[in-house]
Amino acid sequence: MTISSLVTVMALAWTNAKADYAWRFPEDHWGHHGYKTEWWYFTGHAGRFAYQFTMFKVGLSQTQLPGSRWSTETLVMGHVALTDLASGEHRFAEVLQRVQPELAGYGVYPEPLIIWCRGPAGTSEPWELVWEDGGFTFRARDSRQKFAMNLSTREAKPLVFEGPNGLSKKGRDQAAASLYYSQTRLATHGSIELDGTRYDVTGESWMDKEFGSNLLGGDQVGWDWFSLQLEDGRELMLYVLRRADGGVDWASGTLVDRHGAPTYLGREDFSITSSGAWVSQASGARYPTHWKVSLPAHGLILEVDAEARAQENVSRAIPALYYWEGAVKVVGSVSGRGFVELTGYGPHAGQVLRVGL
Amino acid sequence: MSALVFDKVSKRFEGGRLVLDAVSLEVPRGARYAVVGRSGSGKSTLLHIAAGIEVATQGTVGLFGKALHELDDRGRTLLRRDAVGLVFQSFFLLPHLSVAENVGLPAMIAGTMSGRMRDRVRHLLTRVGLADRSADSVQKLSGGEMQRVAICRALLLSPKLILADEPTGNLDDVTGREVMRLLLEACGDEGATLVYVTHSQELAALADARFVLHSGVLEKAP
Amino acid sequence: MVRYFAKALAAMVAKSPVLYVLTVLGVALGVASVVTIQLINDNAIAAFAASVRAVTGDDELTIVPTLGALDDSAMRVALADAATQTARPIVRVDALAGEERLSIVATDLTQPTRGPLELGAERAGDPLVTPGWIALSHELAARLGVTPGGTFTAVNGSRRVVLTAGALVDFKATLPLAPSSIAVMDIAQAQAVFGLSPGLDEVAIDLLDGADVLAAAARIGEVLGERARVLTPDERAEEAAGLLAAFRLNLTALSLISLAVGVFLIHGALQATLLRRRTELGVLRALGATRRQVVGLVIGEVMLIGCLGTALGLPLGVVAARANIDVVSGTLTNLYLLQTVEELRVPVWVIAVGAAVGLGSALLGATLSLIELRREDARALLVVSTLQESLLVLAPRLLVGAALLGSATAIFGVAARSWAPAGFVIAVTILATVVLATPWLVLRVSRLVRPRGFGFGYSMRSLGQKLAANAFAVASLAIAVSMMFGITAMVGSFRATLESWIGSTVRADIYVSTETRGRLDDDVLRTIAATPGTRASDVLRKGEARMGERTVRLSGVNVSLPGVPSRWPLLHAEGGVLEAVAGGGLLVSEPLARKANLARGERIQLRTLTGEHELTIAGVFYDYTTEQGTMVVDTATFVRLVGPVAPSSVALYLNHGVDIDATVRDLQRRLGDSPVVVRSNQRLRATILDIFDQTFAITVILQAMSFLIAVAGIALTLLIAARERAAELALYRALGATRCQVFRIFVGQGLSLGAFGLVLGAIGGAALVMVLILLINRAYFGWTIRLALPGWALAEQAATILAAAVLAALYPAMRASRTPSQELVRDDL
Repeated sequence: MTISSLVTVMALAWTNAKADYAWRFPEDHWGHHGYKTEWWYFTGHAGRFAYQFTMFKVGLSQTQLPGSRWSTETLVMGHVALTDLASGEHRFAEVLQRVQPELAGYGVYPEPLIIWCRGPAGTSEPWELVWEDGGFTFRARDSRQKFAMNLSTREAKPLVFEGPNGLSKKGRDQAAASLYYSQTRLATHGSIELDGTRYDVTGESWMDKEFGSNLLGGDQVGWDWFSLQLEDGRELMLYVLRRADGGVDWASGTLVDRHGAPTYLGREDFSITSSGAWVSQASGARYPTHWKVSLPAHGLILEVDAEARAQENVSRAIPALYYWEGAVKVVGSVSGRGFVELTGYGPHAGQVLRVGL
Repeated sequence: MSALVFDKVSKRFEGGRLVLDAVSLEVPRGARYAVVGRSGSGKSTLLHIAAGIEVATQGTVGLFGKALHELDDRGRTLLRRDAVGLVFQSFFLLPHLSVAENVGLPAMIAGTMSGRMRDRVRHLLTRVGLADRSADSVQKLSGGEMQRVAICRALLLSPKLILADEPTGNLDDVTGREVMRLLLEACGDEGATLVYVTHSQELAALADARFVLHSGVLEKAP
Repeated sequence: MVRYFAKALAAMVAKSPVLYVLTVLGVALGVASVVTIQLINDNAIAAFAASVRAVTGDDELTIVPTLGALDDSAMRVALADAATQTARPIVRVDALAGEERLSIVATDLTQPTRGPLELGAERAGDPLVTPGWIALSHELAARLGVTPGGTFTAVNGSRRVVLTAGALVDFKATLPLAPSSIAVMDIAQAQAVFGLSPGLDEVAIDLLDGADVLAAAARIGEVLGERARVLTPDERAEEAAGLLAAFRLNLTALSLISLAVGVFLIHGALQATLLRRRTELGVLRALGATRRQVVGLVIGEVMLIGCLGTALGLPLGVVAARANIDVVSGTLTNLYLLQTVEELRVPVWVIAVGAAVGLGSALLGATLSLIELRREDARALLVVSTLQESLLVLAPRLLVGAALLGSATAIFGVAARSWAPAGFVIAVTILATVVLATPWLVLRVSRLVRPRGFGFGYSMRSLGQKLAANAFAVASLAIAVSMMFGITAMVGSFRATLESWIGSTVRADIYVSTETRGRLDDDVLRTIAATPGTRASDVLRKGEARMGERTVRLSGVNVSLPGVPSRWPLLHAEGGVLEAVAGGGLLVSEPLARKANLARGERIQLRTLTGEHELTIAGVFYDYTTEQGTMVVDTATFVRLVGPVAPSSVALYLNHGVDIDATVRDLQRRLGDSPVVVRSNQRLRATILDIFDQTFAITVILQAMSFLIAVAGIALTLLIAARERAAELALYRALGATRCQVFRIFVGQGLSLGAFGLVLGAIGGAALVMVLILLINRAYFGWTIRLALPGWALAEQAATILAAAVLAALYPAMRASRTPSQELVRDDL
């Protein structure tokens, strides 16, 4: 689960995620009308790289605005990051455009294009996410920062709903929920470019797809999210929604077995203790770097470590939007690797995320 | 009635300098008096006070019976206009006026220019031998000629008193003598009283009476 | 020597403070006049440029359409270029909110702005989505009485919309010259709310750091081809400046003339001062002072006066410019639809120019005297009359010079018709001729006077006495009067021409239009059409076309209305013109015909949004509404060329006997809330003349300036004369002139100077009028103006000049009448 909408349009006008949603695949891989926020979130490891590719579709208005070719009810935002695990260097690129034929758009099933956006300044190729040969392909380049990725995925395990029928609750409030599914193992191959050198890579990705209209409840200021791919063929997804005082407001998760069957975890089913600190110069936020995750009922005690400390994404397009999204290593009961996302840390905790979530 | 009476006239300038010191003088009508003295002795001031151009600091001045010290500036000016003619060392002709116009200036000032007055101008100029130059610019005249024009100007309104301040001072000896002679003659013809200031003993000798002004004090010459 | 200088100077100033004050004032006025005009000039351009660049700030490149609007391809091309960082679409909308002008710039607000518009993250979507969302300056919001979140109505064309004040922004933080009427909207909102046609006014491009601007411009321009042009900020400013070129040129020319007058005045003032010092300087030389020391003294005094005068004149100029800036604004707004100039900025270079003028002309003024000083020996200096005599000798030679110059001017005027700046050259030579002829004229005419008494005649006669000083005063007055008369006569003629033109073109009974130069809605048109008692209605549509490199305005009207006489006074009255236009020909306005060299019968190529067209010119007509030029075609032709565009205004002809005012009121009532202006024939005529008067108000500044300068010149001259002619004045007193008489003589001198200056100025002014009307105006604006001297105005000005001359003479005359008799003892006259 990641960052969402930025607008103060009344959530009442939008469709809320409901438990009785009728899923159809692959159609539901494309964008949905009526929901305020939707994203496609890819993270993964390939060779010496860890990567993130995220596209957001942000609704501004439920009502169609008449009278102008520039009228748009939707913004498209993209975040892309690459960590060179060998050196620890982390690069982040972003795009933000209104939906407009020249600037950004999203597709409709069955056309291959799912969502696209014009590349950042100085890059002529657009960023896009398409459905090709039965799998996702995503491409992004930032010519100025000299990195690019062009990766294709194939489902290695069936997709998993992160809640009964995909409904993922975020709090005690009935409306605070999203429709959320994951592809916890995607075989990935393609190319990654860094500083002019092109690397052909293979690896493994995790994809989160989430859409909804009301994604943060009451006093929540941010969350910690974990996606871990364990060597015994299981995957673990956990998220913890925090309050301003640092206490936990809501927590939930999913443990996926070797065959892809999910077990939904409640707050009482796991505990996470964080330690370590890395302070970001750019944002002033102080992030933990080490977590102890235990699921006693499932016999799992895991030590999760950031593979590099400086994996923060700071947006320049949206003021006060920054979060830590980094590759992590797992040791303990089982080994593995994965990604951790930390949002709402630092002096502007919750401001951006607050809005309309 | 005397033409001019000075009774213990003193003149002190601003700054304290005493230019005339209790000067007493009586000039009978028709007389020709000369005042001799070195430059800076106050001769010009004496004449200025006599003409009513300047005012005495002390003492009284009578001009044809009129007490100058009782008149205001305007009164003195009008009296002067009527009764006094002036001749200066530097001639003081106006370069932008012709000879005839220079002579006629007092009439212009008095507002009495007329055909008759122009006749008088011509008459006076003829008298001094410059009738043929009447339309010329004064800048073309020699020193002596200029002074002759000045004499005509002084006589234009038939003043009863002529005051001449070093009339030959800017002329050479020969011309000076000629001009002096002319002046004396003209005054005689017009019946005007003449008081003239000079530093030349020779010219002073032509007068009926001579006075010496020395450091502001007037004494009759022996 | 320095101590001597200081003491001597202090003594002289103490003796005649008024004199020094006037001299310094003379320098100050000269400097101020230059500074004022330059500031106004500079600010006019800056305001225009600022309005053109507002909000988009310093984008490196702008794409502008050659015709109509840009389509999406412009965005695509801009985005596709490798050097582009961002490309922003821009649409400009002019609206009115009550009395307040809104200059709306609409752009894509999701693009990162470098400007002052920074919305917090949580409101980032508002501008796109909130209906009528607009960002205003604090001042504008205060004037409208809205707070953030509040709504207000605005009008564009005949459409009334509701806008929401979404944010208050300090635009001036990044664009100090941005007028407070600037407002920002998202392009989607602007287009939707105002019902604009799709298409962009501009695409603003920011390039990547270090990109080659010119290369990018060339690349993008090549792809876009004929449809659009790519401009750098300098080129945009130049285009703007080009629009204002004629206006600025005239201002500059006038400023040069005031500069000349100023220098003249400064020169004269210093000459007079130096003249008085000659004796003193002679004595110093006789006592053994070297030439260098004496020259040093002179330079010292001159520079001191120059510095004081400059120090006074610079702030004076700024104050004068500030006080007059709304007059200029009025002109700019009316003629060029610009923003008003709200604040005066004072760039350093203007101050530098002003200082250079002040000090430079002070030095220049002293140069002549210095040359003399260096050449002459000590004795010559003691004789003051030298300069007098030299001018007396020179006078005839100067006259010859004047005559030669005059004839050369005439020949030049005939020969160089086609060279645009010829008019200015001739104007300058006319003034120079007047100046050169002045000494001789003053000398000769004064000699002609045979004074009888000691009165005005004598005053005139004695003008020749101090020829140099008097000639100077007369000449400077003559120049000032020439300018005043010339400009007054030209403006008067122009107004008269305009009035008669209005008579033959404003023929309809009722005129309906919008306040913001927008279009009329269908509802409004229907309401107008339903006006009872209408005999005929003329509908005006406006568009644009390209003729070669030139963009021309195109108007579509109903050319032949039954029972309505022709509304286009033609240069060459011939038959069949209206039929030709109805058949597809076009009329060209006079300014355009002159500038583009067009004549009746010619075929021209016009490019419009619908393609290339060839049309025949049916005739050329007089038009004073704009100096840019217009073409008129019949409605059918217009639609063919431009398309079915909504009308901009409608003129109604009523049946005979119908009450016009009642019909106007009725129409206003039926139009109700629509922001549309209904005027009767009378009102429209009055409005046009009002605009004219407002436009030319700027000339009043120049007139006032010249007047002041001239009066100062007379006062100065007379004051100096009172001192220099002391001996002469003592002589008059000795010869029996009362103080009163001397006073009157002096006042008479002032009056004579005034009269001379007036007469010479009238001659110069007459010549100037012809030049202005026949040459300058034709070359730069292209209008025909018929000479019609505004008798009353000129007579009034003449009386004022004479009165001022007398006034200027009063104080000097008083000084003169107080001349002490000691002066008689001095040696010179």
